[in-house]
Parts: sequence; structure tokens; C-alpha cells
Amino acid sequence: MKIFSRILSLIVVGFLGILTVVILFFMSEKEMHRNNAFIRRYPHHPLNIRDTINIKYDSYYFAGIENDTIYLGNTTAPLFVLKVSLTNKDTSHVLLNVPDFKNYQYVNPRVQFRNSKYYLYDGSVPVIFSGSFDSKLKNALNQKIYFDRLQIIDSNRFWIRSRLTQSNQLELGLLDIKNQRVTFHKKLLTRQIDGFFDVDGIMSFSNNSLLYIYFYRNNYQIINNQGDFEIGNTIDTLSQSNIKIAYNKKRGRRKLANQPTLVNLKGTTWEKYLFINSDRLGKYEPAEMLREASIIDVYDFKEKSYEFSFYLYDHFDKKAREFRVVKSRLYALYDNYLTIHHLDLPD
Amino acid sequence: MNRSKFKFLVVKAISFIIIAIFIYTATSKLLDFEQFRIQLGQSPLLSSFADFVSIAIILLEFLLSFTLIFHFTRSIGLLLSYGLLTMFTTYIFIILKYSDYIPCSCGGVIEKLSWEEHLLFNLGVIILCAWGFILSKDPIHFDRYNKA
Repeated sequence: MKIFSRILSLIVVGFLGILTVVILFFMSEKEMHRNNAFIRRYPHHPLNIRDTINIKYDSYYFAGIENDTIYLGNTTAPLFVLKVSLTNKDTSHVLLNVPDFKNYQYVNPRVQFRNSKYYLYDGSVPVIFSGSFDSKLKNALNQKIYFDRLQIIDSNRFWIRSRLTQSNQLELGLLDIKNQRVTFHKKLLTRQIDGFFDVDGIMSFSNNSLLYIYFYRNNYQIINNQGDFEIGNTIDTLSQSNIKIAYNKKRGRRKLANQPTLVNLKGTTWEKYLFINSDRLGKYEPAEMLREASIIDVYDFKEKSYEFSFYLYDHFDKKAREFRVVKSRLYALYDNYLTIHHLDLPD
Repeated sequence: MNRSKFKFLVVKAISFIIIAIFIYTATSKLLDFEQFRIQLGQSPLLSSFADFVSIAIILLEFLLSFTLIFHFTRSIGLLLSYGLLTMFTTYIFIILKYSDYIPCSCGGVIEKLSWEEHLLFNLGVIILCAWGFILSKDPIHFDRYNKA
């Protein structure tokens, strides 16, 4: 009899142990992803897939979309640019001609293509090579101006984001490479906690405005080329980021001490439209959608209004890595595929 | 050596193995407590309870080691160790299956194990605990067994 009651105790205790952890798991899942304070609008079928193109590697990212051609940069081959023609879906490639490419040590070289010019940059070197394809790309940045993000205004002016060493804060700056000068517009990024982790976000440039979308709170900033800004709100209600910072004295490092709620995951702009991939469910939204699709909210950043939302479904069991919108087309990268969708936007 | 004596030795051996594991991991957590708390805070399951859980786990591991030293608390100690390890293992299992990223905070060399090895290791310890508990003597009737 003794052995029977012992085994029974083991089963009960084991079951309770498992139950406790499972309950904990569901509690934290719910807290992270659910917010009943907003409701999304889903019109019927605003997005329809048109084409899937195998681009063979999963290391591509969008470098630019111009003249019916998509330019894709490659993180593992920095000089390699894949061109996908949208008229006949043909792919071709170019190898950027950068004579003194080998003279520098790179951390994360990136390509952008804008107004028929290529820009190859790495803010930790720092270098910005620029030029059209038939000419050689030359380094246009002679000062030690470091940055981690860059958006092109025109061939001489860029928005950059840098960590300023004196204050350890992230700041946005206007880089003018004609005069080799940078003007940091302090207080453009609105500090809530430490001015470093909590102000992290996404940069996108459209309609002569820089859009800065915060990861951990429900707003974005619309910044003009003089550095004046306005604030827009997303439909989410989390206005104060719940980041906690830990300072590990022994290792001398600042780290995130919790898993803060991510409000905005990805973002892109086209004309006056802002597209934000959110990680949060609103009221009446089925939880499995977070697993099956990326939820994209569309805003008009001129009016600072919410328009509608749609699902960008997963393909090949993968989430869209990146997406871009031009006119009525949405382009997305999944795994080693480029997909082309039709998107209905209001006029 | 009679049967009862053999059982007694097995239970004792198992208890001391588990004491060694608990003391070792709890101490290594304590030595780098800041790091341990940060890791728990980054965990997708425990984020909001990190402060409480980080202290509770270390205390519990020491407390359970203590109960495993003495004959009369060994039985309950083994049962509770079994429960705690079931929780750890469930945690690892969920993190492996359902979470996007996996921070580990088990302490010491155990952190160096791969997650699959970790799971196997834990299952081994759970079986030891269960076995020890089944063989161990009932604390209330301890005296009676002892006389026999």
C-alpha cells in the first residue's frame, strides 16, 4: 500500500508542477500580446498575392524600388545587388564597383538605391560610398562621424542615428556631406527612461519627411528636413514603454532587465502612408493570427489618422522578413522568396 | 547487508547527489546574482515576476538541500525536489517549443549543456528523485522502521 500512495503523491506533485508553469506561460503570453483598448478595421481582401519569385538566398533585403525594378542588397555579399524587373519578372545582378572597398573593416555594410544612385555605407567604419552604376563608387564621408542607421534625403544630405559618447544617448542628426558636417537635433528622440534602449525604433523616409517609429511605445515622429517634428499615435494605447534597465556593475554593462512590450515591430512608408507591423492584438482579434500572419496597420501620417489594417500571411511557414509598398503594390521577402501583392489603398 | 539497509543507502546516495546539484547551481546563481536576475527578466515566461522568482529559487534550492541531509525530512525533501525539477523541466520544454528565443539561467556548467542535453539531464534527476522518494521511509513511522 505504501508504494501505491507514494506513486500517487508523485503523480499529483508532478501534475501541479507542470500546471503552475503552464499557467505562468499563458499569463505572460496574454500580458505581452493582448490589448483590449483598441479595435482594428479589417476591410475585405485589401491584399491579394500576384507573384512569387525564387531569389535563391535568404540574405536579401530591400535596397530600393525605382523604375519598375526592385533592387535587393545582400547581407553576406555587400557588393552584390540583385535587380528584379517588375515588367517581365526577370532577375539580373550588378556588382558594385568600389575600388578601395578592401581598405576598411566593416561591421554591417548596407546598400540603398535612390534616384538612380547607389549608396553603400557602414556607419561603424564610417564610410558612405556613392555613385551610379557605370562609374566607380567613391567614399563621400571623410570625417569620423559614426552612425548605426541612415536614410537618404538627397545625394548630399542624410538622416543618421548615432549614439553620442558623452551622453550615451541615441540622437538623430542631419549629415551634410558637401560640407562634411553633421547637426545633431537633440531632443528629437523623446526620452522616457534611459534615452538609449527606450528610444530605439525604425527609420523610414518618404514625402520629404523622416518617420521615426518607436519599438516600445505607441507613437511615431514625423520630422521635416529642418528638424521640426510632430508626433503621431498608433491605435495601440501603450504610451509609456515598460522597459527596465539593469546595470551589471561587475561586467560594466547596461542591459535590458525585462522583456519589454514590443508595440511596433516593422515599418515602412510610401507617399503619405505609414505601414506598421504590430505585435499586439486588439479587441475581438483571434490569437492565432499572430502565428499565421503579420498584422499591418495603415496610417495617413499627413492627417495623423488610422486608415485600416490587413494581414500579411506567412508563406512557407515563415513570417515576412521585410516589406515595402509602392503605389498599389506590396513587396515582401520571405525566406528565399520575393512576393508581389496587390494592395487596395484609398485614394 | 539486509534489504532495508540497502534501501537506506540508496536513498542516502540519491539525496547527496541532489544536494550536490542544488548547492552547486544555487551558489553559482548567487555568485552572479545580477546576471541571474537579468536573465530571468528577459525570459518570456517570468518577466513580470523576475525579482521574486530569482530570490525564491535560490532560497528553495538551499532549503531543499537542507531537508535532504536529515533522515526525518528526507522523504518530503525528495518529493519537493521532484516537484521543483518537474517545474524546471516544464519550463525548459515550453521555452524550447513555444518561445522565439531562449535565455538559460540554470547556473554553472549546467548552462553550457545544449537544450536537449539539459532536458535529458533533468529527466535523469527527476527519475532519481522519484526513485529515492519511493524507497525513502515515511517520516512519521521512521522510528518504527529504525527499530526493525
